Amino acid sequence: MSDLRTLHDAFAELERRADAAGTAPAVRPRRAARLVPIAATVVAVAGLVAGAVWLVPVDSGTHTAGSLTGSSSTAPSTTPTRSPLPTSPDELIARFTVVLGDTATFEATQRITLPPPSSTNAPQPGAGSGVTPPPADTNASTSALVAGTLTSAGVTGSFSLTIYPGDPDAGESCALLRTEDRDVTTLPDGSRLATGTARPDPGAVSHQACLTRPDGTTILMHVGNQEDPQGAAINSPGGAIYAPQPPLALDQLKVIVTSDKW
Amino acid sequence: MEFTEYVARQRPALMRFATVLTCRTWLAEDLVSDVLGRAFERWDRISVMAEPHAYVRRMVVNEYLSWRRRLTRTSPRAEVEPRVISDGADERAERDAMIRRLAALPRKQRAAVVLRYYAGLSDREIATQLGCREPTVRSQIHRALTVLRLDLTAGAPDFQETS
Repeated sequence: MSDLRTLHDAFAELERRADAAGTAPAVRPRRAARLVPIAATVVAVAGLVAGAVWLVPVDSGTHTAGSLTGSSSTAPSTTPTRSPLPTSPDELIARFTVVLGDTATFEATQRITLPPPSSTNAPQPGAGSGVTPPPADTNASTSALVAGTLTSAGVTGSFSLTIYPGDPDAGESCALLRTEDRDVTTLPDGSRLATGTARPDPGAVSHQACLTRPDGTTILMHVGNQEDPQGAAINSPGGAIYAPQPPLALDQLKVIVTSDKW
Repeated sequence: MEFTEYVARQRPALMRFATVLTCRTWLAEDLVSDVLGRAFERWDRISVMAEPHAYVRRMVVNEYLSWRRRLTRTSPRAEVEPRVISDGADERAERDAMIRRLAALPRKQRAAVVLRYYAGLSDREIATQLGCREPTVRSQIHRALTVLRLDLTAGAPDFQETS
């Protein structure tokens, strides 16, 4: 049996072939071609985790940080040697607090450390349920994903946020699943910004924004008006409606992911 | 929005959607070109709709589902062939096997799966797009998942949760 990740991988590969067909004469460097599926897998993993976090039973241990009201006791006051990538949920929460400023408050109920990129995320032969971790790139570090509730202008919804490394040569932008009006633009610094809104059911809205910097670093954020920030059918798990609209507009989401305060 | 602007912005997305739907880039190109041609003819009406892109995408689905006649007189030129990887890349092999199974699905089942798991539409929206009832959509998807050998409860990604 396969899982949804494989189906999404198949979709991502078909998308890639569509893009390649649209730019027919372009010949990708061998290295990029080899790494594209890896980048797609990272996105898929991040996306699946983002979609799954609200399914994780709430554990009191995950509530120790992230309840923020403009100033955060969890945020380090100084970051003298900031890494390009937050490697832990705490670090991601701290940066998110700075980026948000007075725009919104949030409570991170799920804090997840993603493993370093690996050469494959497929289950290892004989691994059965797939509990064997894939081989990790020893030069890479972990990345983080946080999710929870976010409140802005009196409206509370859900959010998920992750920042992870990517391949600068892949030339691929994020695949925003479920979105109908996906918009991709290239910013002056060469970053690619993909945005879109998913409406999986009447009344269900999920704004999604994904920034891929020239070095491959990717910031992916969802904000929705349901329990599942990626959006879900109303009567399905994660489909509970929190508010008529997400707490942030798509334009606000763009400002957040493109902030220079990360 | 002007038609040319729409094409510039949304053609890549339509191409991706059509390729996922058909599993064939050449067919997707034909499909999207035809649909855009017809959309151009009625753009004055489409452009004032609340969601022009959703309408055009529905045109793609309808065109795809009504392509039986066209397919009989169209010779495949460069069907997407699953790439056989001999380096033991299980992930790619599994992905390509999934593409093969997708491509082998009956057209309506494939459209239902793509609209659900790629476009994220609800049963009701899919029923509207495919012109059938919601129970039929669920039935189509159920059958498709069986053929795809897809277990929705499997495959939780590897991650470690911090305390």
